[in-house]
Amino acid sequence: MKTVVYTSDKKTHFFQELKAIYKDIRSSNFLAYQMAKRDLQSQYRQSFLGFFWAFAPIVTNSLVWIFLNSSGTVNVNADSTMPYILFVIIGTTLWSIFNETLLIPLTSVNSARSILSKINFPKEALLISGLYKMSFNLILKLVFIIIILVIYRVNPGFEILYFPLALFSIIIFSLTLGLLFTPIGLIYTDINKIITTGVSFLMYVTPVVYAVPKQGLFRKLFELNPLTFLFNDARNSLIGLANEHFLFAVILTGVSFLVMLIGLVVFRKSMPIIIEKIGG
Amino acid sequence: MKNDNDILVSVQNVSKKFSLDLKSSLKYGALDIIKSTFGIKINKELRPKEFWAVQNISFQLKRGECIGLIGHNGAGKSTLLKVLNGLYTPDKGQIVMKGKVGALIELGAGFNPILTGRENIYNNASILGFTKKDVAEKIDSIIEFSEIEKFIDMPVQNYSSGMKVRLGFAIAAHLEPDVLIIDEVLAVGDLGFILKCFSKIDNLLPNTAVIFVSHNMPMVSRICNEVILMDHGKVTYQGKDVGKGIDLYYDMFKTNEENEIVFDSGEIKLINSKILNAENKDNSYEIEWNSDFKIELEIENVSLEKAPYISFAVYDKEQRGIAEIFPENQDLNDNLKPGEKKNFTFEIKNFIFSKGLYSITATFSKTPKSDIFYKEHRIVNLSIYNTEQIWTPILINSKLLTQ
Repeated sequence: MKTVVYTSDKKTHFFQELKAIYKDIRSSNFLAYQMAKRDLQSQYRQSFLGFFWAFAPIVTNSLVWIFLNSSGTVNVNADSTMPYILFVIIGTTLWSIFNETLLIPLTSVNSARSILSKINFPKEALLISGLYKMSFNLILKLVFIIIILVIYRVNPGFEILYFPLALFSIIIFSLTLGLLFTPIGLIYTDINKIITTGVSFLMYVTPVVYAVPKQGLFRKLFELNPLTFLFNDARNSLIGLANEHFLFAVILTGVSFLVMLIGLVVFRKSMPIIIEKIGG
Repeated sequence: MKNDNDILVSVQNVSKKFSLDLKSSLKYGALDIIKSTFGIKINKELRPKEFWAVQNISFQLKRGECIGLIGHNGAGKSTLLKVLNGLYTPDKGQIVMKGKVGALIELGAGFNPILTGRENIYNNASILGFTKKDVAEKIDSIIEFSEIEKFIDMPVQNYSSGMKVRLGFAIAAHLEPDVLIIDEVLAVGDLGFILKCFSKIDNLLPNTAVIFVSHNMPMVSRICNEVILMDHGKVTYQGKDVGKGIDLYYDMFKTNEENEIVFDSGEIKLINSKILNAENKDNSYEIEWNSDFKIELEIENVSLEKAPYISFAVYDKEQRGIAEIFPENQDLNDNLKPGEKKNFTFEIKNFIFSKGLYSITATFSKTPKSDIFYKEHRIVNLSIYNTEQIWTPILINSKLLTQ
C-alpha cells in the first residue's frame, strides 16, 4: 500500500526529489491534459471568433511595425534578405511564444489558487497543463507562419530542419526562466509586474521587429541577450538561410534543461509554503 | 488483503504555526523558500507575530474507525485537516498516511462554470486523482448517484448550489479511498441528499479510516467512535467516550441563561418562577433523571378577565425544542381581577431527559393552541444528573423482563 510521510524536517536529496517529480508528472498526465482541455474548451466556447484570438496580438503588433516602417515614421533596420512583413511576423510570433512560455508557471499556479489549499494533487500537473495549452497555441501559430511563408512563396529547403531545435531552445530557455522566479513570484505580486515590464523592454533588445544594430552600445546589449541568436537562427531557418549558432543553441538548451531541473525541485519544495500563504 | 488491524493514519505530536498578519506571513514565506532552496535549516520555533494554530496533536486510526474533530470556530480543526491531507507541511511532528487518501474539503473543486456537468465530472475527478480509466468506468454511476441526469449536459453555471454539491459528492463518493477526510461539506443539500451521503459514508466506513470535522454533534456522535475536542490548537479532550467529548464541547459555549420575553401582549405578566423541590446551583436547578418536580409561577394580571392556559416547552443547549408540556386540570373559566397576583403550581412527572442542561419556556394563551398573551424563554434552567453521559436528549426508562 502506498505510504506517505509528512514531517517537519524532510530530508530528501536532490535526486530523490527529481525521481518523485518524474513519477508525479507521469501519474498526473491525465489531470494535466484534463485541466488544459477544460481551460481551452471554456475559452473557445465563450468566444465567437475563436482561433482568431490566438493570432490577433501577433497580427496587431506586426501591423503596427509594418505601418511605422512603411510610413517612414520609424526607419527600421531589418534584414534585407527578406521582406520586412515576413521579418516582423516571424519575429512577433516567436516573441509571443517566448512571452507565453515565460509566464506558464506563474499563471497556471495562480489560476489554480482556489483548489490549491483544498485538494492535494501533484502541482507539477499545473506546469504540464500550461505546457499543453502553450503547445495548442503553438500549433496555431505555426500554421499561421506556414500560411505566411506560402503567401510569400518562401521555400526554406533543408534549413527548416534546424527550426525545431531553435524553437525548442527558445521554449526551454523561457520556461526555465519563468520557473525560477515562480516561487517568490507567487508570494509577492511585484515579481509578476517586474517581469511584465522587463519583458516589454527586453523585446527591444531582441531582434523581433528589427535586426541587430550594426554597431554601438545597442549592439552590445543585443549580444548579451541569448535570445538574439536563437531568434535570428530560428527566423533564418524558416527562410532557408544558414544557421550560425548551432552549438550555442545546443549548449543553451542543455544548460536550461539542467537549471530547469533545479527549478522544478525548488518549485516542489516551496509549494507547501506557498499554498499556506496564498491558498484561499 | 485488507488487514483490519492496519494503522492507516498515524499522527505524532503534530504542530503547525501561522502568522498573525499577511505581511509577516509573506515575508516568512519568501525567507523559507530561499532557505529551503539553499538547504539552510528553517527555524521551527515561533518567530515574532506567529502562533500555534495546531499544537501537539497525536492519534492513530485503523480501518473502520472514525475520529471526529470538534471545537469552536478557529480551534484549528481545518488547519489540522490540511496538514493531514499534505496541503501544509507540519512544523513539528510526523504524519504517516497509508493508502489512497480522499479529502472532501470542498466539493466540486475545479468545476468550470462554462462547461457541462458531464465535462466537469472529468475535471473534478482528475483533480481528485482518478485515472482516465476510472472515470470512464464510473461516469454512469456518478451521474446516477447525483440524480441530475436530466441536467448533466447543461453548463454548471446554471446549476443550483445544491446540484453542484450533489455532483461534487457523487464524484468524491466514487473515489473508494482508504482514508477519507471530511470537512463540513455535507451541510448544503436537501435532507434526501444528506441521508444519501450518510448511507454512502456508512457503506465506506468498514473499509475506510475516516477523519470527520463537523459542528453538527448528532452527526459526529452517529459516525465517530473517537473524538478530539480542540481549543486554540490544543487538545482539551481526546477519547473514545464521544458523548463526553460532545458534552465538553457544549460546555465551552457560555449559553445565555438569562430569561427572555419573546412575546408580550401587555395583558399578563410573569413575575417569578421557581422549582419547589430542587436545589438551585449556579442559576440552574439540579434534578435527578426520571424524577418528578414541581414548578411554581407567580403571575400578575393586567387586563385579563379569565385565567390563561399555561403550557411549557423544553429546550436543549443547542436551543432546539425537544419536548412540550400541556398540564391538565387548568380551569380557564377562573375569573381574574386587574392587578391581581396569583400563584400556579404544576407537577411534572418522570423527567427523562439525559444528563445535561435544559431550559423551560412558558407560554400563556387563551386556549391551548391559539391566542398567545405572553411567552418567555428560560424561565428556569435545569441540570439533569445521575445518568450516563449520552448524546441524545432523552434517556428512556427501561428494563429487561424475560430472558
